[in-house]
Amino acid sequence: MLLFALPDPASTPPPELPPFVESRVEIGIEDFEYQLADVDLDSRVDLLVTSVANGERMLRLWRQRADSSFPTAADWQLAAPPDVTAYSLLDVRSEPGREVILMTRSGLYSLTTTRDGLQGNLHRELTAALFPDLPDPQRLPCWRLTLDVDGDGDGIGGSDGVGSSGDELCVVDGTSLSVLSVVAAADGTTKLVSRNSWRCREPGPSVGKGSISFGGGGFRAARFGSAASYFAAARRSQPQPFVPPLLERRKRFDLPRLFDFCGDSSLEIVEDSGDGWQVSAAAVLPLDAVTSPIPNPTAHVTLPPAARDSAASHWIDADGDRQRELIVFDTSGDDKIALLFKASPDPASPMGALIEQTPSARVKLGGMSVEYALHDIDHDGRIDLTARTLEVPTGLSTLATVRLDMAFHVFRGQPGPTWSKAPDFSWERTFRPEQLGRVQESLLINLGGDFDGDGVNDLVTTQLDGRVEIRRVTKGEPLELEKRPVVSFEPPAPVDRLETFDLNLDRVADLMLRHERALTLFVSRVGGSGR
Amino acid sequence: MSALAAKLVAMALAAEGGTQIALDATGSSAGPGVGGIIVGLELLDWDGDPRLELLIARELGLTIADVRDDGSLAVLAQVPRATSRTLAWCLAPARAVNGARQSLLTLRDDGALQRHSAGAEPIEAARIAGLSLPAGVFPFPFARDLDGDGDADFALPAAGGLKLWFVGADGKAKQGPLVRHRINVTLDLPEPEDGYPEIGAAISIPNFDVEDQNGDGHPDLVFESEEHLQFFWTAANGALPEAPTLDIDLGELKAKLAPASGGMLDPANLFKALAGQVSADVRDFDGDRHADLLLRQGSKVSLFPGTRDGIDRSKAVQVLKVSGNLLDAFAFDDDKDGKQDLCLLQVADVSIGQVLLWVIVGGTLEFDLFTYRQEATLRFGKSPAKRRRLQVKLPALLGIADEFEENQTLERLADEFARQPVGLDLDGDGARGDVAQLRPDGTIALFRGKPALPEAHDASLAALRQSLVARFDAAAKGEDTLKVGLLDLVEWVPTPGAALRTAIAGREPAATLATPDPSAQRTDATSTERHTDRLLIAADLDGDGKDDLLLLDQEPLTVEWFKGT
Repeated sequence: MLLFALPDPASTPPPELPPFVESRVEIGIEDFEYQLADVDLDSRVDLLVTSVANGERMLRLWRQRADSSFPTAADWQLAAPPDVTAYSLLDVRSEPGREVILMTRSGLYSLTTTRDGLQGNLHRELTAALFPDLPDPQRLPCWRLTLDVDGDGDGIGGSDGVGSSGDELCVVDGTSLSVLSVVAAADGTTKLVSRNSWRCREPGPSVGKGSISFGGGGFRAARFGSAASYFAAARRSQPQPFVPPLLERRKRFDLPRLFDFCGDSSLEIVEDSGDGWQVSAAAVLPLDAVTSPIPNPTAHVTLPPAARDSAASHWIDADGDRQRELIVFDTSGDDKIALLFKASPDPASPMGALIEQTPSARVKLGGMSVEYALHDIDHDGRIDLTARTLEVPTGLSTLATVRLDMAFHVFRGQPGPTWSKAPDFSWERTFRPEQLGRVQESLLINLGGDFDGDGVNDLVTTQLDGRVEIRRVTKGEPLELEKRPVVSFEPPAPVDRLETFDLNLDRVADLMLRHERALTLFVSRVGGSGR
Repeated sequence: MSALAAKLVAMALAAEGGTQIALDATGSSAGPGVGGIIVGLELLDWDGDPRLELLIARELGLTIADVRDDGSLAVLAQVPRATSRTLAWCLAPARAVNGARQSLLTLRDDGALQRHSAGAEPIEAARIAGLSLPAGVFPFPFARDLDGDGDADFALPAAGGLKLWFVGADGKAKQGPLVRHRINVTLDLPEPEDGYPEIGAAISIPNFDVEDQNGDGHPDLVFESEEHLQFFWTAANGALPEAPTLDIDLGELKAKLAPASGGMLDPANLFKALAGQVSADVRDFDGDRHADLLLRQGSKVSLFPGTRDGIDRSKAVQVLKVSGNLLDAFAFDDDKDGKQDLCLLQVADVSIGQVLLWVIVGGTLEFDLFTYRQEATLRFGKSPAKRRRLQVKLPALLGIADEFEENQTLERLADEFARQPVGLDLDGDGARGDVAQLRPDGTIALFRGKPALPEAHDASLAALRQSLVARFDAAAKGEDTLKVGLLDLVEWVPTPGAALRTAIAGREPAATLATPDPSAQRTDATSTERHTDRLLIAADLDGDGKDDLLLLDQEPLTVEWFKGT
């Protein structure tokens, strides 16, 4: 552990940053997955990592210490039994903290991290025919479908990670999405009880539906279990794979879309209809309820035509008035567009909404690639729009002149709601080909966290030489990006991914760097000097 | 039968229409056999008579039924799924019975492997511990003769790979070795943030070969996956060893080659990454009937001779190093002297700058194929005897999606690939000289012919390489350099069914069978969707020596039987 006061190369001293504690967690291999969750419910977010070593799928837990550090060695670890398909977290037992939930094809088991090993620790919580029904021998994924369906807790994906208190665990039981609640029994113990379930939709048997198009031709990818099951060994008109596998089988379900549509903390089921959405309450039934179909729709929401084919839609309060607005991104054509549509309550249907047909804000950017995202950068309750663009200028068509341009634009959320006509600020970079050896690293950019606690998120980027830099964004009209970095440091290894979280819930952003075989965490020190 | 008479017969078939086979596709009524929605169909010879029977896989189990001439079904056997989550099935030759008669093998999630044969009670051939198979009723061809004794043995997934089981004379299966075979499982789990949450699980187990590799007349076992190759060669007495005769861990070799680049690209040559590639080809290169090993490790190619007992990897008989970016190394008789030559395919350096230019203005990508002649037994020339250079012209990548979308050749090839012609023997003379072609509208075009037509398509990588070299030579007309557009290259790839398509090219069909598929007529459909999903199957269902046609429609599931008469 290293107490790490981030250096400040600027000549004019900016407001002080809090001290950060640097921890390095060595995973040792390239393929690993991580989750962040407050496992022991001490208001400090812990780190869970899964990886495969010597044929064993390991789940390891690093607990965050009171001084904001993470230990070098894992606090707890488990070699997952071969039949475990996934793990999750839920506070289901009387032992302190959340339990690790192990999912198998035949049910759920809980395991407390306050004790080592499986012996005397593993409890069967549920017997059911769960899907997925196969473990991946090379991976132990996290099951993150823990949702506060009934709105009695702290909401979806609570700030302390997967399996937040008040959440229900949603699992696929047979062909239904089943909602499981932790219920206290009369003898003081707790148990998992199915509170409701909705049938999942299975893609039809036709090879035509959901097919992929190869050029304009008629090639269709046959679903396994459909056409491949018919006369596989016969002389037939349908092509066989070049080398037919010994076994190839795929099963897929579309799950009901559970979403807090009304903004009342409980969830609704939102289904697509021809011109919009059908919204119905995802009511949790009494404990003795049995499997039921999706409730009848209780509201129909008509989408503006421009929003119907969008690949990404956001139903979000964009201006802080507690009413949701619709934001859609369409980046498939030459022009990459973000649209914001106002909405108002539907007097005819309390669950519904009336969305205006013309957008109140529209941002259109050109470029080879444009990625839009939404943030509340200045924490004013209005959603700001960010766009990262990549472009190869077409006029520069020789090896001597060709270049890659990257830009990051911030369009401020304004009353209306609308976005600023021009970016409040932009961060632009030009790369010559010879500078692109670390291209992937050089394009990392993040505006998700406020590192100095001034109420405005700050910009984290990586430089061509691999250095990580943080630049302050200062509040004002418009927002301004400081020219000099407030922090610039060389990370211990090349950075693959750069993320911001609040890992100790002190409202100061923390930084996590993912390297090829390790993680580096910079966590603000609670009560540290400099605040 | 004269061509005119054959045409008249086919016309008569068309006029009569097909016979509907009485499947209860919805599973809403009991129907013949076990219930549930139909999830699979197969033809088999269950009882040894000349007719074929129909295996109907439903969610609730399996039914074997005789198809009567009027399309009705007579149930011959049933295998209920009962409480099993998994009921995998496989057809295999019936033991101790000459001819084509087949047994049905089933595998359940409790590990029970049963053999079902006509006129006999099911017998448990083995009980497999720790079996990991997906839920459902599905075909899984796990039975194959692994040791050449005529009995179907088993290869089944187990922790760490495939477990082999050998069936002895008593019909019981005995455990053989565990082969470290890759079993790929892909789980797609939903996330709370997903706009369209889905969940999926897929399993894929690569196949393996049973072929004589050491020239002793006994079958050997060849397991090749992306990361690992294992070969089990029989001993002199025909017995297979417990441990692999040759074990090549490509992943391990690759790890040893991993460059210390720290994940950085070389901006001057993106293909430098090929220096970390490893591949192996195990085949007989020198004609002594013993498989040899051609091992590519980065830019180094090594040859190891095989013997009856294996391949000694401690000493290469020849090592070649190339200075360029080696893309592929393979053996192929280039000069047609009856001996395999060594071919090395290289690609020219490409800088990041060039790639950026390809994005906006396109460019050229250059490949060189060098041939080293086999001058003595497994000794190849030190310098190449021949060089072919292929310059591929790339369009601007910014607009390439549109070019692909509008490319007529691609559309035609995709269409041909989706609906391949089927060779038939309609007159029962033993030669498949007739061709049935499923059209985009779902009807069948029938073409008559006398001599048997070539049907087999060699889908091996070796055949593909050979075909590409032949296409180069034909197009280059003796030159050693050829320029070709990227989209024109698509034509070079051999497609299955090409021989049958050539045979019927430009001909008018003798008859058209079946009514058009309504789902292919939809006016709101895209051009891709205006192609039938029907499946055409050729088989002699009624055992009269003449092929019949089955036309399967999937929505709703129906099978129409056009009898060859």
